Amino acid sequence: MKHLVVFRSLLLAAGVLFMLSLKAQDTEKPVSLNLKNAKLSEALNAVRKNSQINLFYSVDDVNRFPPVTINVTNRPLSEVLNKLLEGTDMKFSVEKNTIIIKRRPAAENPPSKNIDTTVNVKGVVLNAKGVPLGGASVVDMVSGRSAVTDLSGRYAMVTSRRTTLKITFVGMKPQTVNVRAEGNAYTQNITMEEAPNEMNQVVVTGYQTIRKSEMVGSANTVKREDMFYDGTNTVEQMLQGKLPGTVVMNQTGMVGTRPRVRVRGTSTLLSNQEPVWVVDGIIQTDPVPFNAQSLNDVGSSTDMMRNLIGNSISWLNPNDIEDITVLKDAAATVLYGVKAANGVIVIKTKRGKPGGRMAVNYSGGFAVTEQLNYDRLNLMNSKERIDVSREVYEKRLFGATITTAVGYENVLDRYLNKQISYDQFNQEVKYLETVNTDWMKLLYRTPFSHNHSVSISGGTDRISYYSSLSTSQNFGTARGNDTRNMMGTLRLDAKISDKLTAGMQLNAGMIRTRGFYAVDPFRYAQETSRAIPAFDEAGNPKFYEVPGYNGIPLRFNVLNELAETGNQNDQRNFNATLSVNYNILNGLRFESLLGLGSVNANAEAWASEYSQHISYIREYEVGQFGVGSKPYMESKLPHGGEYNSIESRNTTYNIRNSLNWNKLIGLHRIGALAGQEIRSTATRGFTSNQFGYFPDRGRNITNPPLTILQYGSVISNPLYSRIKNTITDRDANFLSWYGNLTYSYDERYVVTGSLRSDASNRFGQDKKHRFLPIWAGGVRWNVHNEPWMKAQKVVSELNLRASYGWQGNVAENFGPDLIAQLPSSVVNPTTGEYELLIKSLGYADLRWEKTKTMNLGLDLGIASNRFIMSIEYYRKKTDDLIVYREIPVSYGIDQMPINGGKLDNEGIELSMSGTIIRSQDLVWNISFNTSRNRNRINSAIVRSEDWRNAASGRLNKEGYGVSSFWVFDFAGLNPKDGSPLIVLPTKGQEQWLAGEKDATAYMKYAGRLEPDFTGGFSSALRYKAFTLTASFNMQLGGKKLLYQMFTGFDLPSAYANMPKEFAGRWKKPGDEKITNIPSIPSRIWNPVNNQTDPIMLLIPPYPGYEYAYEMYNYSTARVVDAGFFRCNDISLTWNVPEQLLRHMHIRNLSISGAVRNPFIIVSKDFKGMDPEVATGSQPVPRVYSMQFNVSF
Amino acid sequence: MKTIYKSILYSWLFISFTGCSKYLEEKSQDEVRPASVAELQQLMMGEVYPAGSIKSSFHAYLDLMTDDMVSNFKTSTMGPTIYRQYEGPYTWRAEMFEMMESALTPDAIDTYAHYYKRIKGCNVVLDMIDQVKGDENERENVRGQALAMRSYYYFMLMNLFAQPYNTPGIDRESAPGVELILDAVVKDEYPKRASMQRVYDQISADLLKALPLIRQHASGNSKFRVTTGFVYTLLSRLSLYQEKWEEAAEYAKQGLAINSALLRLASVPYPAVWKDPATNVYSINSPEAIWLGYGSGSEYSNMARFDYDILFFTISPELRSKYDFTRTNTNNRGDLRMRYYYYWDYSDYDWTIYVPMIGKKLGGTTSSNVVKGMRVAELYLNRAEANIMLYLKNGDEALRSSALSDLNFLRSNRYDTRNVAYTPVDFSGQALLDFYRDERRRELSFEDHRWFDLRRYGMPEIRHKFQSSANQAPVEYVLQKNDKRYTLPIPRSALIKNPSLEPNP
Repeated sequence: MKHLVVFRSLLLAAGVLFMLSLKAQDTEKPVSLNLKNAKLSEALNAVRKNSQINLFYSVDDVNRFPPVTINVTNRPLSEVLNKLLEGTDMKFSVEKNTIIIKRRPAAENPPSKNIDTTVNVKGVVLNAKGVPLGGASVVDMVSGRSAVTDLSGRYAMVTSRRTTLKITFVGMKPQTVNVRAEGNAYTQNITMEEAPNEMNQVVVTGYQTIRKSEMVGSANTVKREDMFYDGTNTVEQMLQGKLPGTVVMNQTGMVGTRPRVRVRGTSTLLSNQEPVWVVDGIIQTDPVPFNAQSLNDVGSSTDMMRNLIGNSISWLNPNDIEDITVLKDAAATVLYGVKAANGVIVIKTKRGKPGGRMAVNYSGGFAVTEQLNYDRLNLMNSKERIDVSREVYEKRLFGATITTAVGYENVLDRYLNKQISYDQFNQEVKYLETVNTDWMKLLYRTPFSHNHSVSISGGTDRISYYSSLSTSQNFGTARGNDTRNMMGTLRLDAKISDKLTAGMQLNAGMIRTRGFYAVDPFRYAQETSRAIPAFDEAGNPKFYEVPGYNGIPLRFNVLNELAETGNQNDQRNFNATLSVNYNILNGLRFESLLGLGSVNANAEAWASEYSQHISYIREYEVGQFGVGSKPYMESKLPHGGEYNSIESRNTTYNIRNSLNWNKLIGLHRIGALAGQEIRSTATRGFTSNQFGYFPDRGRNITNPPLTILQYGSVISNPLYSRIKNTITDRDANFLSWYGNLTYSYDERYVVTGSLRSDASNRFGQDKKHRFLPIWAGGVRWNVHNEPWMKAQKVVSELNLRASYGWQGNVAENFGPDLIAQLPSSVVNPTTGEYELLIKSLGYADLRWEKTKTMNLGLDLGIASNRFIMSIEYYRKKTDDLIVYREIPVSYGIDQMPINGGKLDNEGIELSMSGTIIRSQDLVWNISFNTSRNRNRINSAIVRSEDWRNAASGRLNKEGYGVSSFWVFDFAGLNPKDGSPLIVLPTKGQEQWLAGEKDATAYMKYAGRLEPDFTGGFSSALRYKAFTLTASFNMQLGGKKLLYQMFTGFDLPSAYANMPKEFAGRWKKPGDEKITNIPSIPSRIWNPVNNQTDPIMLLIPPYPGYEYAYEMYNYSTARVVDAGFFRCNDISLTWNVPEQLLRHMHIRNLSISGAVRNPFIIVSKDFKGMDPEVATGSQPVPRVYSMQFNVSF
Repeated sequence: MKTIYKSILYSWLFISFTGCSKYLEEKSQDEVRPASVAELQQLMMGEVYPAGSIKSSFHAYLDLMTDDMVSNFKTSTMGPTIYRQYEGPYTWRAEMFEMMESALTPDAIDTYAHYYKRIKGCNVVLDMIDQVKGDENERENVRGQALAMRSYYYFMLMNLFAQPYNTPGIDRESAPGVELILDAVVKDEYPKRASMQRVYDQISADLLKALPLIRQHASGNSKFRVTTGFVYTLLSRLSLYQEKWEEAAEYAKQGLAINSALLRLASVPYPAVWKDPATNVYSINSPEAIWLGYGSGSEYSNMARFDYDILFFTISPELRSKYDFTRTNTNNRGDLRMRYYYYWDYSDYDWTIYVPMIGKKLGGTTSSNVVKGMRVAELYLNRAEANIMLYLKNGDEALRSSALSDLNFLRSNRYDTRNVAYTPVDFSGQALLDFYRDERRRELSFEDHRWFDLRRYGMPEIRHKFQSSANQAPVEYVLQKNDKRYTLPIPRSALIKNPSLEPNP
């Protein structure tokens, strides 16, 4: 620093020397000067300009003195100079044609009063933790001089001996200190206090930066520091439990998959329910286009690929995030248009600080994921499983035995066929009882994941930069599931002139995720009997027989299956953003934002010919039959495997221009915004399903035979109908206008209104309704700014907010015209003619869907906002919701859209945070949030006759919430055979007749699958250099069905494992009094038709027989409370003290150890299983991690 | 700075106010707003004509209800499923549709809805035909096709779900027909069944309106579309069913004037074991195909899921005995239809008994993939029947010989005439009618004619033996003479959605 100052002085001096020489009389040249609180150097510079005479001085020397105020007109130069230098230890002299200003020799300095008036004040500005604050501003309240602290928090300035300094820093409470100096130097260290609520003095919505005191809408922000990241969790998981009204639901514990996010419940039934993600003002697009049909298509291979391909924000490095804001109500999201109905999540990334020193930061660490084990799965061991099989035989239960290939059934079969002796039989059964194959151990592991991220940031007062590079390798606990990524970002902000600033950002990233195809290890481990050995005596994988197509047995071993199948997903991203900000006039600003994004996603899933998945299609073992044999000729796929791929290229550009006007007239502040936006997404893609794939023979694809033999005739190979190539070519263009007007009076009363209108190139829309208007408005009363509140000191913040919004929507694909669609094969292969199909008839009478949203909020801050609280209430009413109505069959379509639906969402959100303890060494902060959402359908939507729909949560019924489900009313066990009994209406009864149309008439309402009460709790406790943080998340009110106890109506398959509690099943008459667990499913002898029948019960409509054991799976006996309380993470951080680091040139070093997902409290019916993930999916694992953070 | 500001401002204005129309031009990869006659023709191909579509069958169970099929019992893993799937129609149950639905019977059980879905296609085309641009000739062609196809579908619906036209003592003005939907606009009301008379009037009127349009504008139509032959055949069939004999004969004559060719089966090489004949009556190059309409070659194959065994359902021995066919006499096999119209396979593990399994009128190499529709053979038969009925009424010998000549001409194309000349038959009186009816049954089997013919022959009694499990004694189900069940029940799925829809008793 010092060198730089000297250099600057010399530069100036050199410049001056080149100036014209000076004549003596020029010292009497008249000079006019009018300056207020100017630095002395500036004043002298003004003199030079005014007089055209060169002055030579050291800037640093003259600036040791307080600023000057001078007002002279046409006075001689010498007089002006004397006046300026009065009170300093400087004098001027004319030497070699130049006026030189320099210090007087010490002798010349009279013991003047001037020395009494100035003092060199220096010091360090620290935060409450003792960390220096760089960039804090120190202002002398008397002279107005100011200084900015350097990165080690130091400042120095000259002030008068009696003055007041005001120190301000973003996020800290401003402080004032009095200077009462006696000597020449004075040290004033300042410790700043955090001002929690003022941390977000502005709310960034992506379109606007709204002053917090003028925010009428509902928004919550969480800072990166308050979110836990260990390298293995996603941004969504980091948000779990952090924001009121934002529910994050994990779907599976696999890595690389994305959880579901819902903001304020479900507000649409037929389209995408995910919120909009926005990064630095740019709306993010999913790499694979949203497809409504695949919503319920869980478990298909495309779904798996889609899940692993990542979503719109997969490219973002969590370490680059500054904070995340969720916008919830109409007033907050209005500028995003119709698509924001599901809420908006705005991510702000880090950028360099102007005027800061260059900072290099490394954060990284490693994580170890805990292996899954049987303790948390509640499954039978070998012995218990063999017991079930033994009971089947000993009781001589009727029914089909699915297999005798494995287990007790196999040994028994051989014994009964006299292949082995009774002794051998007993010996083998004994062996099986102790096999206890640990499928979890074979398919799961304790993986070691690591992540690294380096960032460099800094800046001058003209330009600032932030760049980062990160990489991570993240291994899932299932063998074969991992994700690797590499990301880089560069951000530049430049102040080109006082009026023009510009920012530029580049991001690039690549992600590779590997998963599974055709075999799900968790499902396998969960469902497979432990009495099946995985290896034979020689240690080779042991294959056993599973039924193939037409019942021909095929060999299967899960390890082989996993090795011979695969799923790999690659995503590459590139994003560029340019923002320009131009101050046209004072208060009038033009802003322009240009964004370009490109995503290239590629997913492939394959199975080789050695897998059982392919044997099933081939219908025999690989190599079993050769050319010329009948099975070979009949096989659809005699050679090769399967290869599926999805490829998607996605380019989005975004151009946004806006004019922003702000004016403060007295106590009135007026703000106006008008803008226009263009957003366009072009998606090009290719989906392909191929057969005849050879992964180990040069990844060759050889087409299957064109014809095969079937029932003796030569037919064309039906496999070709499954070979399908699809090209996607879509352009989605949007053109929008938006505006906002805000008026506030004296920071007390705020009124604001916003409007947005969108038009798009969507096909088949009603031209009349092309421009969709949306508006919202709100009011705010800052009670704490009322004069009558000034007197008290307890309440530091109190405001009331209310907002209301209106949004119209015309459902997609329903215009007034008939829309035809090209079928998947455009040419009819039979007729050879082109074809068109009707997609939708024209509906001229459809009206807008109207959603009215109301939000009321209250924020309260106590004791200088040491404790803050906010409460919000909202109500969202959707009228004229476009729903399908069933119509008579004779109209030729099943259903037609009508404006018939009504959906209400109502909820309350509460968040509280505060500093419980605050002292030098001990600080304890906690925050808590909770929200309750009630969602209700107020009109009959689609009637369904199917009980399976009712049990799945897909049925929408008037008066019930979305995701409500119904189950059979379990009435105990049949004392005769231990089969389940269900309360059902008899034929012809009123309930029966109603049940013909609507299964819910005879089923019992069980609750909702989605939670309606969610909460989060975080705590951070610092003692000296140690910080202990923990965060918790709970979701209550949801109900779920337990895993299915029975897979069919017949005897349990020897392959299948069963839940542990099945050991307590009904075994003999009388047991029904002590247990609710049914007996082993079997058939009963029917003397009427002289045969064995499965146990069935009669349900409407005709001839609705349903298997009793299947109904038990969906009965009240299996409904459990899915509420849970999960500890998301606990971490302990040690901030290595500065004195230990100083010698290593390290500014900051912290080490933390953490455990993610340490425990979960659930209903005991779950027997330790994870209720959050979908039934049958891998639970969220526990992760231990170490993270390091170093800055230089 | 000023220039930067200006250029930004200008580009902003430029972006805002120009290029809008192009940018917001509706775009879709696979959607079209039909605006031309050609596109309506494509809609006809996709929505109206079933040939080649995923759902090309309407009722792949109808022949199970006739005397052309029997059920055999055998134990097999698939047995219980197959028996459950087809028990409903085979035993004429009032809840046959619901039984098939709950047994997950594959394909073609939603007969009622499927016909109306196709009728909707006709209605959409008729609603739009005057508002689109295109060649006038083509426009009238499309209009004619839509009218004719709608008539055809209503005709089929009436034969399935309404009482036979010739039911003795019926009042057609009050007897319920079917719901008559004549435009594509969905109204907020529940349609009622129109009277039989009303529906038949509509069918005739539309057909007579279509006839000149098709005759004049549709000369280039393929066998997959409505042609003049199609309209004449349908008119002749309609008249026949309505016992308007003169008209039936006249329309058949008109149809034959356009095409009178028949496929000479003897000229098609006798197919080898397991093979289908190279060409057949519904092959695309068959000279006698008028309309390659609907259905698929695999319609009844589900009932023959497993090879080398007797079938759960198969063609009746009675029908088999009607053919004068000797497989082993390679010099003169006799009536070749037995081999050419049915799918043959070994029916036991010994590979010695080689029998017909299911009806199949597709050729092997030049398949069109539809097995039902309209053929010239039907015109000969229709004309013969009309003449026989008139002859029986007035004893006109000329009519008798004309009928015999039609029958003999048809038969001469069906018999093995490679080495031996065809021997004409000669009958008179009731024997002629009986012979004719057997001939019609032999020729048009498994083309959805038998059920309709039985209805108009006076709804005779049919008996079906049925056994679905080893421990159960076979039960004989009887469809009485004039049984109400000769009219199919309206499916429950349709009744639930329309409270005004009157069920069939």
